[in-house]
Amino acid sequence: MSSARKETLEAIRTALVGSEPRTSEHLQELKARIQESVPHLQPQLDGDLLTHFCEKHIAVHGTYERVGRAGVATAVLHHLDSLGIPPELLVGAGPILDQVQWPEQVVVERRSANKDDSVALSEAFAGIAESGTVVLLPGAGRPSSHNFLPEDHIIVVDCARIVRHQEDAWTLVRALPGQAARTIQLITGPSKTGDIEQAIQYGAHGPRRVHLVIVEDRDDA
Amino acid sequence: MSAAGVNPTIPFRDRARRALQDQTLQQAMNKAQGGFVDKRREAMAQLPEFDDIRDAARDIKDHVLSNLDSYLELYEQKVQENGGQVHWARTTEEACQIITAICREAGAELVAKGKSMVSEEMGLTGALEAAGLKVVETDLGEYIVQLAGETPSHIIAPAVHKTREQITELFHKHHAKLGYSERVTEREAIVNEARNVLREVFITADVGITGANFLVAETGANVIVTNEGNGDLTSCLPRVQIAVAGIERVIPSLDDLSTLLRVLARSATGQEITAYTTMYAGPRHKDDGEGPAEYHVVLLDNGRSAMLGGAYRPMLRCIRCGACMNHCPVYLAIGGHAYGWVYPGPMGSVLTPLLTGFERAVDLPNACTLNGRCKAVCPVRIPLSDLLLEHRFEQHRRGLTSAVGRLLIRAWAWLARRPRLYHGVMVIPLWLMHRLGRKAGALRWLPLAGGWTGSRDFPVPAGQSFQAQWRATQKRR
Repeated sequence: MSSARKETLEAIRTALVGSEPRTSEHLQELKARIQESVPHLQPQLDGDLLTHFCEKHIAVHGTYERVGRAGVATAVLHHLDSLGIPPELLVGAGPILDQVQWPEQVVVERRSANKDDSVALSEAFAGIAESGTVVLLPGAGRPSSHNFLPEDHIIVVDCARIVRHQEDAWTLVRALPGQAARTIQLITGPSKTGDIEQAIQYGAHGPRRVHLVIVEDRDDA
Repeated sequence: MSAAGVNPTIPFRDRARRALQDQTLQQAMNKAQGGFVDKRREAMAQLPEFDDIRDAARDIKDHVLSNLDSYLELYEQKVQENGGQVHWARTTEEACQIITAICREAGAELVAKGKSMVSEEMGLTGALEAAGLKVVETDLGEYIVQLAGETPSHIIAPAVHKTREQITELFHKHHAKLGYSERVTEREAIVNEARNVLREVFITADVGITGANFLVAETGANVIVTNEGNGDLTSCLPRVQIAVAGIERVIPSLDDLSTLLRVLARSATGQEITAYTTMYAGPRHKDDGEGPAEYHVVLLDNGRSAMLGGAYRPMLRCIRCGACMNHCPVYLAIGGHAYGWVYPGPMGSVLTPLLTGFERAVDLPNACTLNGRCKAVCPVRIPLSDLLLEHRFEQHRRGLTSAVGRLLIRAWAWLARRPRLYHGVMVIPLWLMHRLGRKAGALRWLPLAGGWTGSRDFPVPAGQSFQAQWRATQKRR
């Protein structure tokens, strides 16, 4: 359908600039606008980022616990225990999660999720204080299916990676070495729908519960 | 130009009348009223910068539209670098052919679909079904509407016209054969049943089709914004991923995206951000372990490039939030189906004549009180009510208005340009109306205006025109 491409672009060009051809300088200008892109006006956000992040996450029906670097396994198991869910989980890759020593009775699997898996544990690439959002970058060792199929999603967030605004997360994404991320997922609370009588019901297609384990820079649990 | 779902056989007036008499619809619309409006107002109150961010959002879209050809090329280049394919479609038929061919090539049987208004515009589901494919809508509202054999009546709340009781019956009718023999009546149970039924679809679908809220030239990604997560399951589980979008969806950078996202969710549902905002760029990488092997984007023109050159260009800024219909007294009274095509409410009344033909949608721009609320709430500041007025001018220019109406307007214009004669003629009706309504203070009925006076009284005019009174006062001095 290359003729469709040509015709569409020509129709746009004719509407915009008549018969004048686009110059290569013009394209360079637009490329530069992208490469040198800076945030537009952002909402003012004062105060402690971590506190703001937690408040916003609670506001969208999420839960969280703050722990030290040694406290991840305990926090995850305690959370599952409180829900009466057996300690069987899909675990994704990440700098913090790769270091976690799991007790023997915990069943840890590292594979794609299927529709009967009940718990997935992921590590966030970043957190956004502005909206209580976590940024996940699915890829090798971090399947997208973990983020949507299980009923419970537990997400580990490195406190040092909580940024102020959404645009600050893009700065981190842009700084990644190698091939750009295929998928960038912003997750803000559990799955929900308002399609029945405009009333919110949680657990539509994705996780019913989203629990954050926020890891602070201290050695204890 | 195809106009999937247009039913030109029933005039708008009849559809609107039927909608007003439909008790169930009125019950559903009454429930919906206010909710969206209140939530948006609360979200705005929490963001003092909202209006300034709206200006920034408008400026981004205007910048893109002025350079649309170039941004599309930059975006296309990036998708190709990512290993994806970009397809261009001039018309909805062309788009449906492209997508059908991709599905055939993939040997597909089952297609999972995320909510996409542009796919409704294409009549995509019908086209794929005609090609022998099974298509399942996965957004809960869209799924309900699909089971009912209907089309969405709102661009972000497709089943807003359905009551819970109707949904219970629909599920019972369609799910009993799947082993769900009990009627589900509670909201939670209804959502759970849909969750379980649709899970099978996500797992087994060969192709996943979604729309795109935005296409980011910086990364070559399509962005989908949802609360349910169905769009993501549709995108990441099937072997072939297809995103469909109008050509105006492209934006330059991730920073531009953030600004647009800040106004989108707040205007739509009053949320700061939806539960899921995901960017998909190209097919799975070598070591990914899962994800689609093929990634396609289908870009649809269907009349959009023609809108760029004229007065309607601002309409291409639209980010499909639905705020205009949520605030429209006409939409809230008659619901979305009365509009007769894919896009309802004020944005639909502007778009439908442009995309399906002026002569096919003559009533829509006139089904507007020009109260201007749509224009006031639009996150990208589209002057919707002005564009509706522009449509009325266009109808007059094209001779689409009634012959009697045109004759009367011409007669009035002739008269109004002759002040002496005008005042001479106006003395009679003013005096008459004054005499008739003097006692009651208002007129209950006027000749030729029964429709107007049917539900309200006409204030009694002063017996003399302003100018006559002025002259009298001057003389007395």
